[in-house]
Order: sequence, then structure tokens, then C-alpha cells
Amino acid sequence: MKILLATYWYLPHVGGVYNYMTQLSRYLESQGHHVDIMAHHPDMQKIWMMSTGRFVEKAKVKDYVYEQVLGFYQTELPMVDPWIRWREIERYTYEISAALLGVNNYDLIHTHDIVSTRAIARVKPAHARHVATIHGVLASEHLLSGQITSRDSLPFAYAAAEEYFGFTSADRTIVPSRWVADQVVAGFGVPADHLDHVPYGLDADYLEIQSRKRTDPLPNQDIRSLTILCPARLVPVKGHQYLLEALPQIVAQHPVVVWLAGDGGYTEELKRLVAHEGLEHVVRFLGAREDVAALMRKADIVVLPSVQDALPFSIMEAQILGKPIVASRVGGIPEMIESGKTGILVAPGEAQELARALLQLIGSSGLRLKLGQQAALWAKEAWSLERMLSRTMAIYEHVLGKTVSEVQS
Amino acid sequence: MIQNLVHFVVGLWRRVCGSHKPRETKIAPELKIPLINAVNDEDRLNPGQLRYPLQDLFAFPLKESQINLDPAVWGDLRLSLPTAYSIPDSEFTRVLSVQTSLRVLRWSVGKIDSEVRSITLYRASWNPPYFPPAISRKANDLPPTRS
Repeated sequence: MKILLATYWYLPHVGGVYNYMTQLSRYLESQGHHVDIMAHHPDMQKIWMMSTGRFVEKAKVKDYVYEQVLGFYQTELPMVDPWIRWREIERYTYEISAALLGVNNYDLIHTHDIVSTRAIARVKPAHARHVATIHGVLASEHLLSGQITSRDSLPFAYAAAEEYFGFTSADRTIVPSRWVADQVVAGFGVPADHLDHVPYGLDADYLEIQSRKRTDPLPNQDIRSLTILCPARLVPVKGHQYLLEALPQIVAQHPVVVWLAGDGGYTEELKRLVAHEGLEHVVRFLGAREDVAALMRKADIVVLPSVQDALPFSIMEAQILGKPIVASRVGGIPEMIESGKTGILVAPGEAQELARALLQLIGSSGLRLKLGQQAALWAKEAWSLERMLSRTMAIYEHVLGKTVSEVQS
Repeated sequence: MIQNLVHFVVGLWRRVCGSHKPRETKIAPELKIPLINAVNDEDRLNPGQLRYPLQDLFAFPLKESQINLDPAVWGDLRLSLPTAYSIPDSEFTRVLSVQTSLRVLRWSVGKIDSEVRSITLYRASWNPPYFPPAISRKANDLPPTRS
């Protein structure tokens, strides 16, 4: 069977979507399927087929799309603001690029975000079945990041439409957490019976191997200090600012080092905040890392102070590696952590509560060990890769109307 | 103003009911942007240097676009797209039409409301504030009857 995995995200990147697509791709290829992956190139200037290296330069398509979109909006809907026009142009550029790269020869297309789902649904041939996995809720992220200032605005109405069409344009839509399903059913009118809840899975053995590989060199004092790892993109929804606000209280009582593994548009702002708090000797910006699993093994505590998160892979990884976690009671995270048993949950955006929870763990190696061990026991069952793959294959078979082996033959 | 409002409400009704079709632009047959789909089969699989050692599945940088400029591409593209394909996506333009119309309507109602208020205030200021009390007549104030 020929399968296309597609996303609007850039690949490769450090993050859950990439992990998910990589695992799925490996499995499908091991079953004898032909798999292509289409995504933005990391420079965001190209849409590319990662498996072959073919790509379309967006600029060449964008000029044409720009003309069509602006022509329409200037005459028909002049009130529509540039943010909406920009998103329209990006989506049409993606769909025309996808058509240029070729989507006609696939039996099944599996998209991984709302933009690519809507785009592919418009350009794919009727015979190709379409499954989407939507990993989060972007409309509320826009509000949290300040890109959209009000729920009553036209941009939010547009973002809500993006969610609705993103969640409904494929034959079936997979969601990784109940929270995502609840949000889009209640908030955007997505029919509940169109969604399949399939939690992520993780290849524990592969993670174990990765975690034992050598990391890039780290400063000596980092190895000797108690380390707190925050493995997350540097974007506002990940809540790094609350961790930085909590740190002075912690540093006053214990010598710790904090590793921020990830990159993103919020880096400079966070660096300014670190300087403002006088935390340069405590906080290390490690950038986008390929050795997150190895860093995690070296760390004593993993923290994720998100203000919104669907089902973060970093928590799954930390649990499997037996690390104690402090995370926000937000999004799908309460589906992952039983506070006091498999980690500690704190209110989102509450630096004081975060500081208390971290101090509790820093002060007790016994508690760290206990929470880590209980999390590992739970995670190996909860984040079974086999279960995720078998349920995903069942959804493939459902949309194809036959078993995968019948399609292959 | 009333005429404009009526015109607007009729427009809104047509949009909501779908009688208003947004302009749908097909991919233009004239080739304004020359694209080439000449895929270099010989060279395209040069893997170059792996971007990340761990990600051996894919990820190799390529310097030049391999869907290059060729006028034939738009023709091929049109053939490969579903016949109903158009830019922009009519589902989104319908949502935006309704939402902008609702906002204009809300703004218009607010405007009318403020106009009515200002007229009322004007009239209130124009009318004398004092109204003489009605002449009340009690039973014993009846005009004298002829006896």
C-alpha cells in the first residue's frame, strides 16, 4: 500500500509530531508499505518530500496564490485582516505544492494538523482514503500567544473555522487525548462520532537505547548539581516564564541547574527574563537537541509548566525513563499524571505553586525515586506503541473498507 | 441610512442562504508563473550529508528545487486537481462572509441605537422641561349647575 504522511509542520524537528510520524513511518515500512513524508523544510521556504528529497519552493507558488487571494479579498471581503489573508495564502500554497509533488498515487493519506488536513482534502483524488491525527488545539494557542486578542474577533472566527474544517475534512480524525476531543466538540461544533481517541505510544526500548547515548558536552558544574530539565519548544504556551519566576525562590535554598532543551520564537524574550532575574548561572539554553532522551536520563527532575498541552511526548518519555515530573494541571496532562503518585501537578501559571512542588522534590531523593518508579510502571502499560499502532491500523482498515493485507495484495 | 441597512440585510440573507456565491477562480490557463516539473531522476537521490545522525530515515539537504520552472507544470497541475478545485476555499469564504456581515450588522445596530439616543436627547433638550399639571377636577369642583 502507498501511504503519504503529511504535515504543515517543518520536519525534522524536536517534538511530539515528529516522534509520532517517525514511529508510524518505521512501523508501516516494516510491514512492507511504501511511505512518503511531506512537510515543510526546516527553512520554511520549501515543501518537501523527505523520503526522496524532492521539493517545491514556496515562493514560486506563492506569487500566484497571493494574486488570487488578494484579488478575491480586496473585492469581496475587504474587512478581512492581513493575518487571515496570510493564513489563507499559506494553506493554498501548501495545497498547490502538495499537488505539484503529487498526491494522486496514494491509497491512504494520513495528515497531522488542521492546515494540511484541509489542504490535502481539497487536492487529493477521490479514491485516496484520508485519516488525520490532530495533535492539539491551535485556536486557543493563538489566544494564549497573543496572536489573536479576543474570542469575539474575526481572526478567532477564522481560527475556529480552521479547527472545524481541520477536524472534519478527513474520513476519520484521531485525537491523542480526551481533552482535545472535548475542546473541539464543545468549542467548535466538531461531531464527536467523527473522532477516534487513540493515545500516543512510545517505543520504550528505542528510547532506552537513545537515553544511554552520549550527550553533547555539558559544563562540569552541571553534572555535579541537581538538574531540572524542561524539554519543550520555547513558545509562550509552554510556560517557561513561570518556571523562571519560580527559580529565585528555589535557588535561594538549593543549588540547581536548569536545562531548557528546545528552540522557538520566544528565546530572546526568555533570555532577557533570565538576565532580569539574575539567573544566568542557573539556566542553560541548550537549543534544539537530538539527545533529549540522554539529557533526560542525566536530569534529576523533569518540569513542564505549560499553559496548554494536548498530550506531551516529553512527559511520556520522562515517565518511561523513571524521572519525577512536575507539570501543569492543564489540557491532556491530567490524563497522564496522577498527582502525588506518578508525578506532581500544579496549577498553570502559578509560579509559587510550581516552586513549592519543585522544592518538595529537590528536598527528597526518596520522593523523586518513588514518583519516578511508579511513573515508569504506569507508563510502560499506558504508552504502549503496539496498542497505538494496532488501533491506528484498525482505523486505516475502517476507512479503506478492507484489511491492510487485502489492499497490499 | 435605512435604505443602506435594508440593502445590507438583504445581502446578509442571500449570503446565509447561499444564493450569494463567492467568486471562484480556477487555476488560470495562462501561465503567469512558469514552473518546471522536470525531476532529475539521476541526481535527486544524492543523500548529501545527514542533518542529524539519529534521523537516518530522511533529512538530507538539497540545494536546488527539483520541481523547477516549466510552463507545462500548471497544465499538469490542473489535470491533477479535482474539477471543483478553486481558490479561495468557498467553505472559508462563506464563514468569513457571514462573520463580517454579522459584525457590520452589529455595528449598524449600534450606530442606529446611538443615533436614536442622540435624537431622543435632542428632543428632550428641545421640549420644555416643564409641563403644566393637568387641571384636575374633583367632584365638588363641578361647574355650577343651573338650578
